[in-house]
Amino acid sequence: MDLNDDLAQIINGCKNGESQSFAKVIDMYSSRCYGYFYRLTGNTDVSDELLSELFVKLVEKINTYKGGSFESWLFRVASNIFHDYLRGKHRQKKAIDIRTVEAESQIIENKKSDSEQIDKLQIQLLRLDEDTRELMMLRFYSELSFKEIAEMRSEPIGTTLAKLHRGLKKLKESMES
Amino acid sequence: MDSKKENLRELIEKFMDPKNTRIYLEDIEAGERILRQHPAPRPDDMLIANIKANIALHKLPQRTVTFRKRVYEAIAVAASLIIIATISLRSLYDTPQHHGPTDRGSLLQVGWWNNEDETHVQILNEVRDIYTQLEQIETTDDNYDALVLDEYKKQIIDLENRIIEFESSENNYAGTGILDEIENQINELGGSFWQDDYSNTDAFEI
Repeated sequence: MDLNDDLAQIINGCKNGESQSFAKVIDMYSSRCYGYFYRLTGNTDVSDELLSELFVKLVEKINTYKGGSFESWLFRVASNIFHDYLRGKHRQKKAIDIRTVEAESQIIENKKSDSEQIDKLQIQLLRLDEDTRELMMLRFYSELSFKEIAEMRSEPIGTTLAKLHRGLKKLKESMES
Repeated sequence: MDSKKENLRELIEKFMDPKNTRIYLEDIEAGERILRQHPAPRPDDMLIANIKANIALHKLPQRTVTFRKRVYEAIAVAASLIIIATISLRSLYDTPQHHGPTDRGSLLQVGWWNNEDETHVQILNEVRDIYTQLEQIETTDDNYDALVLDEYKKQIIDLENRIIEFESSENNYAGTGILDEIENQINELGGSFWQDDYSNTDAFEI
């Protein structure tokens, strides 16, 4: 039985409401999804919340998964959760712009001395624009193909490739400087 | 499709500037290498345990409720059918000449009154349908409570046998005792469902 068969069986179990199957999905994807949320928010508390929300959504929405790439489906849900979080955050702050992101980066830099270790990568990622950062994290953590990512983002594959290239290049340069 | 299986060079050549394929590839690979070299923190074990527990609690009561709800519905239908049948049979038995709905028998479907000979058959069919419903719960709900379900199945079979017994004895007055027993059994059936762990209405949150 290959990985796909195993996964299909687990997802079937989820659809039948078996808690063990949900536990397996959590074991399989929690690290990647957590990494995705963490790299997008730079905050472990928020990432904890978003990850919990993701798996509750998984329970609620599993019957809407009708086959195809499960990762694609799961990360679409994760992406929606992240966007909901952003909308809530935007509502709270009225407006979030580059200055805010920079301010957040500053706060994060200041927190380096705290127990929460913020790595250099996180600081540089938060300096990228939101869309590019999300695309890069989607690609890295979901391990989806460019075709799938382009479909998910409803944009031409060339656009996805170009944005990702620009983002990664910028990241490389900022990490080296 | 796994991203590792796609040919990035081919994609760059096709969708970007083919003359700079090598540079694009190097930039992308270098960027992804940086991401790999800086792994994000992993979720706390306690967080994962909490999520799993939350889901199990979130799911399992629902599943139990589904099972209870379905059994209850089946039993409720069975009980009402048999009560109606009892009223019907009593009415027919008490007033053999009366072929129309009475106050007590007005719950009965008109069709049942129109053909007395088929009344028992219809009731038995309905009761057997309920038994089938209980069997379906066994096959479709793997979280069912086997002991509870078996008990209700036994009771339905018993009720079915009593109705058959009543049918065969309705032309003599021995049927009245059987009717009383059927009524008592229905009362027990309805009452026992809500006893013990089924009496906790909090568990019925949906």
